[in-house]
Amino acid sequence: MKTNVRKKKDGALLLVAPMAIWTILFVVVTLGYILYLSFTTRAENGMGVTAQLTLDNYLKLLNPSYLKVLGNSLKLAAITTIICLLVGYPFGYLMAKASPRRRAILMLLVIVPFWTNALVRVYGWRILLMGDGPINVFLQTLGLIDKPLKLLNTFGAVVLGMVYALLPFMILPTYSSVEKMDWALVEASRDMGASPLRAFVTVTLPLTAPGVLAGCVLTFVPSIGLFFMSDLLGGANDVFLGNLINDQLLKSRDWPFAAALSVVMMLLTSLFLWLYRRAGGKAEDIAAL
Amino acid sequence: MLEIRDLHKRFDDADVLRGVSLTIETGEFVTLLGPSGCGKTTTLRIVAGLTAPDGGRVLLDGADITALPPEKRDVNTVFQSYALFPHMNVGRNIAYGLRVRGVKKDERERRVREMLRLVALEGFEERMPSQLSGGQRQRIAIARALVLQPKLLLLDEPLGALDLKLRQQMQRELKDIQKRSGIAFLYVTHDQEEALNLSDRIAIMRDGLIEQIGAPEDIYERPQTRFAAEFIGQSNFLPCEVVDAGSGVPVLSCAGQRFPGRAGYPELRVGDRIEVCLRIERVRLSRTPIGPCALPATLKSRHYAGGSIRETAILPDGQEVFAIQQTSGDERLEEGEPVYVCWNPNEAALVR
Repeated sequence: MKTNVRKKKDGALLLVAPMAIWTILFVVVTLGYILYLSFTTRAENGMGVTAQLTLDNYLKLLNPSYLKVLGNSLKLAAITTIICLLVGYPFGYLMAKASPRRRAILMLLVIVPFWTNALVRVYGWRILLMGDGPINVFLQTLGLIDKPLKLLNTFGAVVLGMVYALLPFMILPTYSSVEKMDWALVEASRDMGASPLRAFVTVTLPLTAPGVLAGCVLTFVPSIGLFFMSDLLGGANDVFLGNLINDQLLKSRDWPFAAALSVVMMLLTSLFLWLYRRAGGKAEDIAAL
Repeated sequence: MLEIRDLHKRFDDADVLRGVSLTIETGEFVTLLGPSGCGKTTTLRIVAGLTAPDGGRVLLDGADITALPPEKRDVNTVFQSYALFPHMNVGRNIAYGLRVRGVKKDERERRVREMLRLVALEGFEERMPSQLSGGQRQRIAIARALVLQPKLLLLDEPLGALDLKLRQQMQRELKDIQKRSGIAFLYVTHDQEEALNLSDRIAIMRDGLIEQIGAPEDIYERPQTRFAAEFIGQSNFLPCEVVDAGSGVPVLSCAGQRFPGRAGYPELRVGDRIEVCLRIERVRLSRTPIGPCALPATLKSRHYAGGSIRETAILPDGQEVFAIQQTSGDERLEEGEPVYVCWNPNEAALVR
């Protein structure tokens, strides 16, 4: 009996071994290295690091200009998430209620952009938003504006790019939760005297909340780290956490500080995932995408 | 109290309702009985306001409510799936409609307690629907609809999801609740036994029309069509020709035999082809002819089942006649023996 159990255990160990090796190699080791880097000192000659351990990299973060970057990032992520929710929920709702044929078309509209490189699509936005780009030309031709609007290299352009890139991550989970709705519940609520709005607020919304929550996490968390959007669409002042890490790593060659920033970002996203779980969100709902 | 006039409804290419009219009196229990797809649920949904008719009117206490949305109708529904809100406990489920109407908290709680007492689930306020059994959910669904004191309660196969034993128990409770509340019930089912047990009147529906409406006894004893006769009870149908219709009691002919039919069908004409509906428990197989209606046949099989005997006889033209009768010791028929299929003409409806 005992040997039997042990045999079973050995077999199970063997089965999880590839997964364990993968996780150790690509998650534990790499993250551990980043954590280690964040406590090292930048090398004198600017290349690499020296093994002199210090907390300076984290203290540097308390510098007001870096705190501002952190605040900016959270603000951008929050605005992106709210706009995604306001656009994505109705879209997901209508998609779930549409006829199968229409639903397939809408689904295609959501998914097709994924088949093109994200960078290429953002460059597309650059062209559209340029001073002599189609949008400005169109508005001028109509006579609505006298001279070109400054659309590109603004905070608004960054938000637009973010919403554009992350909207599907709001649409898909809200769609899937609305699609699972038992509409007899809404009929029951109407039957008992609730107006359409009241039925939506008291029945549909609470029952689709898991999808909304999952969608918010799926848009908020990546929007903290997405850096190329502000590089391509933002102005000189639009520096966010992602850009900062990118710049520190590639331009300033300050690996330890970049590592410290990365650790902070990871802690931040972990915090939001933890809050999500606390709010009753299920890991499967966000892992499915 | 409720009046439905000439309802029509099309879905895609199917005529679901083709002119349904029905009246329900205060406190009456009316059942729409029919096979799936006959339009009974659609009729119910139109009364609830959940489906819009293509034609026809719905009047409640004389007022036309055809165009009113469901929340403006003094009618509540018990859904087939119960449709209890999974994110609210029992107390909040029952209080939902009261809350929507702005009833004060004390009053709400009092009426919820009262309803829970009515459905014998006192103290269940804090339970979640997922913690309830099927029968309990069903009773909460009824309580939730009744708490609003509607003029009419609509029930869409409310016992369909329950097992047989619970269904029979709930039938008694439903009838009891209906009597105590005094609210009219419009009940949809495809179960003839449920319809017979519960209803003051049954409307048999077929292909978007009401085939026959009447008290359970009327429907059972005097079905007007073969469909109605088949849907309630078990019967044999003997195809006959009317050979004399002059004197009130028609004379019928079947397989070369002549016998009297039931009186009270003045519309019959000589030469009409009709069917005699022989309820299986009213047919008697016997060695000697009993009464004026007795057709010679052969006993094919005989199954003794304690309290009753199931017998099958074959008429000379090959038609089988099923009979079920109470066991009695007097006459023991043998399989293969010549017998007479006998019945009382006044108990055999003539149907088309």
